[in-house]
Amino acid sequence: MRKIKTNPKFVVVLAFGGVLAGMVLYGCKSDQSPPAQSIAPTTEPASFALFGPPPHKTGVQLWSENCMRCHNGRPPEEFSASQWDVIVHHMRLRANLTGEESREIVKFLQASN
Amino acid sequence: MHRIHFVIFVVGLFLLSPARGQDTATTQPVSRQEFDQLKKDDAEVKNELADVKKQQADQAAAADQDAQDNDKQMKTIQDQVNKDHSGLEGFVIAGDANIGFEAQRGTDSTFFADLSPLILWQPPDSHFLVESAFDLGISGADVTSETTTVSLELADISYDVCDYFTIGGGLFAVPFGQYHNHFDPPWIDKFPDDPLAFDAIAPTSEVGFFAKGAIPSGTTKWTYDLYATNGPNLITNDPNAAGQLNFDDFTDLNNNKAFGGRIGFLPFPDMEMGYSIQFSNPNPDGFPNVHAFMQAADFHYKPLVKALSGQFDFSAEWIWSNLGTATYDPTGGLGFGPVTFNNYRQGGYFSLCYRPTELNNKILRNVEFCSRYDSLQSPINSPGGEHESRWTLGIDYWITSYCVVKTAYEIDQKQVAQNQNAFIVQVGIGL
Repeated sequence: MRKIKTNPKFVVVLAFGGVLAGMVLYGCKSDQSPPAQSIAPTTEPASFALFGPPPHKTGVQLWSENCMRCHNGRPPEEFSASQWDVIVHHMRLRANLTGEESREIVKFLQASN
Repeated sequence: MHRIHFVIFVVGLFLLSPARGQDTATTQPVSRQEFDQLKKDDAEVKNELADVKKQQADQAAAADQDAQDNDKQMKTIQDQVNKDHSGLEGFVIAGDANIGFEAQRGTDSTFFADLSPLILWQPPDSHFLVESAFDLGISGADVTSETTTVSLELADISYDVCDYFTIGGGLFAVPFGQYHNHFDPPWIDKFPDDPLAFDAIAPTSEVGFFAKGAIPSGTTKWTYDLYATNGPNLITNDPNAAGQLNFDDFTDLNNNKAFGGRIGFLPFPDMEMGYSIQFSNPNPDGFPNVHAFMQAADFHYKPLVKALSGQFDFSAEWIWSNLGTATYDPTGGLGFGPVTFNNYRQGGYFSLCYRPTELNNKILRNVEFCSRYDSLQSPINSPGGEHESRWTLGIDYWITSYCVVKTAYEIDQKQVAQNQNAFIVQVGIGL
C-alpha cells in the first residue's frame, strides 16, 4: 500500500459527491415510469445491456432477485399487508432498492399473504 | 296406356302417404283448432323453460353478489380493525435471535445467547421510516466481569426523496462493504461468527447523516451510498490495543468528521460488487494528527447451477486500513511506550457455500455445506499486533427459511499468540 503524502480527502469526497449528484439528478429526473398495466410482463432477460431502459419485472421476479440474493425468502403469509409495507421499506434502505422495485415487491407480498 | 299411368300414380300416392303405417287413432286428420292448441302448448313449454333458465342465472348472479358483499364486509371490518389500532398498522417488531455453544482452544467452553429486536415505524402515507435496533446479550471476559448487556445498534430516521434517492440520519448501519449490511444477522449468515476483519477494522454503525439510492441502467443496476459521521476513535492509551480504531464509541473526540461511501454494481441480478472508502481523523485532542484512510472491495455471487442440482453462494471482501505512522505513549508514562509503527492493517474473507436445493430429498435439500477463509493482519510491533488466518468448515441445516442450525469447526493460525481452533454450534432465527 503506497503511503499517501497528500490529504486525498477532498479529492475523494468531491469525486463521490459528483457521482452522487449525477446519480440523484439523473435518477430523480427520470422518475416517470409508465404505469405497470401498459407494459407487458417479460420473462427473465437473458441478455446483458449496460444502458437503456430497464426491463419491466413483476413483483415475484423482483422479490426473487433482490430478497433471495442475500437470504431465504420469508413466506408472504408471515406478515400482514401493512407490516409488509413497513418491512419492505426497511429493506429498500438496506438493499438499495428503487422505489418502483419496492412497490412491486410489496404488491406481490400483499397479494400473496 | 293412360290407364296404366293412372294406376301407377294412385299406387305411388298410397306408398308415399305419411299416414301409412300409423295407428288408426293418429291417422285421423288434425283439425285447425287442435293444431293451434298444440302450437300454444309448445309455446308455453318454451316459456317455462326460459323462466327456469332465467331463475338459475339470477340465482348464480345473486350468489356472486353475496360473495362480493361478503368481501366488502370483510374489508370494512378489516379497515375498522386497523382504525381501532391507529398508529400500530405502520409499526413492526422484527429482528433476530441466536443461541449456541462454543468450545475454543485456550478458553473455557461456553453457551451463549443473543437477542436483537428491530423496531420499525412508518407513519401512514408518508415517505418517512424510523428504525431502531437493540442488541441484548451476554458479555464479560471472566467470571468476575460477566454481565448482560443492552446496546443500541440502530436509531435513525430516513426520508425517500424520490424513487432513486433517500436521505436520513441518526445511528445507522454504515455501508462499508457488504457483510454488516447484508449478511450479518444470524438467520442470514451461514457461519456462526463474524469474519476476523469485520470484528476489528470495519465500522458497524455510526452516528451521522447519509444519502443513498439505486439507479437501474439497462439490465444492470448501480447503487450508491454517501455518509458523514462522527467516525471511529483512535485508541491511544491501552497497552493491548493502542493504534486500533474503536468503532463502538459514538461520541466524537474532535471536530473532524468521517466521510465515506460505497458504489455498488449489479451486472446480473444474482451478482453484486462494490467499492467502499472512509476518511477520518480519529485521534483524540492532544494526540498528533492521524488520518485514517479505509478501503474495501466486495463481491457476491449466488447462482443456481441446475447441472449440480443446487445453489452456490460465493462471497469475497477485503479491507485495507491505513492510519500512517505515529508514536504511542511517547513519554512512557502509560508503561508501554514509546512505540512507533506504521499502522497499516488489512483483512477479509472468501467464502463458498453449496446447498442442493434442486434435490427431491427434503432432508438433503435443506443442508448447506460451507467453507470460509478469513484473515486479519495488524503490525506485529504494535500493541496486540498479530497475523491471524482461519479456515472454517461448516454444515448448516435449514429448519425453515428463517431458522438455521449451524455447526462449524475453525482451524486457526496465529503468528504471535497460540492458535485457537474452535468448534461452534449456533441456532439462528429471524423474527
